[in-house]
Amino acid sequence: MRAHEIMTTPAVAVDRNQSLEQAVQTMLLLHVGCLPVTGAKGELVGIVTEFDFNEKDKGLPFSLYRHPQVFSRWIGRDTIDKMYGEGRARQVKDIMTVHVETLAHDDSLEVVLERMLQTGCHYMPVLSKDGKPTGVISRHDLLKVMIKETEAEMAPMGGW
Amino acid sequence: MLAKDIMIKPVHTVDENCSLETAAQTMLLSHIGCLPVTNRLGQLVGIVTDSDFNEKERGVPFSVYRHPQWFEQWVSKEGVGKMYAEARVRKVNEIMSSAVSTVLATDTLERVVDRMLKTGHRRLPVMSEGTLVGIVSRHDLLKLMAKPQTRELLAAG
Repeated sequence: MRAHEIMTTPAVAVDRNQSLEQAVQTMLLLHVGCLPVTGAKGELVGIVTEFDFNEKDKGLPFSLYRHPQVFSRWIGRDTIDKMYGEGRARQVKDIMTVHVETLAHDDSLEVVLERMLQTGCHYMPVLSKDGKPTGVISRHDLLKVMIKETEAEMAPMGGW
Repeated sequence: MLAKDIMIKPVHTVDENCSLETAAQTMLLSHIGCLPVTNRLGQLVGIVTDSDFNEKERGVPFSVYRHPQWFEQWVSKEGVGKMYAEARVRKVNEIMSSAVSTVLATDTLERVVDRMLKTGHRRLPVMSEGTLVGIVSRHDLLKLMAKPQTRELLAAG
């Protein structure tokens, strides 16, 4: 089994200048937790994950206020709305992870497992030879390996 | 906004004696990253997530061999296949997390976010009067930043 057989396709990427609101919309509608971020030529420049929106220090909307401890005191609904409102207009490049671990299209299952476990990543983009993202492998995708091969092979076709 | 307004329901659960293959299949088919685990009385006894299948130390199939250092060596394709074959028939209660952090359906959004950040969990089961009624995940929190139209679209399924 190779990386391209395990990954979720197609890789729906966002441009680094897109707003966070647009990125969130794509993630919610596609039910994915990670989007590859691309530059002007479609090359991978980073990834944005659901963690980036909710991390204590880095994430939005908390980092806007530079108050990781904001939730140790009570804050109201109005404040939350305001924080998220300001976050919507910001750009993907403001919060994306730049140093991304990637996989190649033909990497074997062993390599995929090894890289994911060693790095502790939850998501890894899979790149074609010209450096463009063609899919993403998440830990969720690795569940496919837990299912007997015949069923795992048939499932993506959806023909039964 | 309360936990019950943002949670996903109904919740898929698995019995603690269920095989890992069945659990993985349920998660894949339902596109969910975690399953609350129940005993034969239907009580919440743990939670199993997609990460539990892939953790270095305790995950499956690696813990089966008790070789966290396994990946320092090259392993043949047959080796991985065998490990997974043996892992498939193991039971959910062997890899689940037993101490589950939960929130109440009537907890405020602030409290839910607070719990999620403090515990570092990606998902929290939502309880009401001792019964599991939903799950709230980090993914669900993205809705707070979405356009109202997107939220309506999602609510409509």
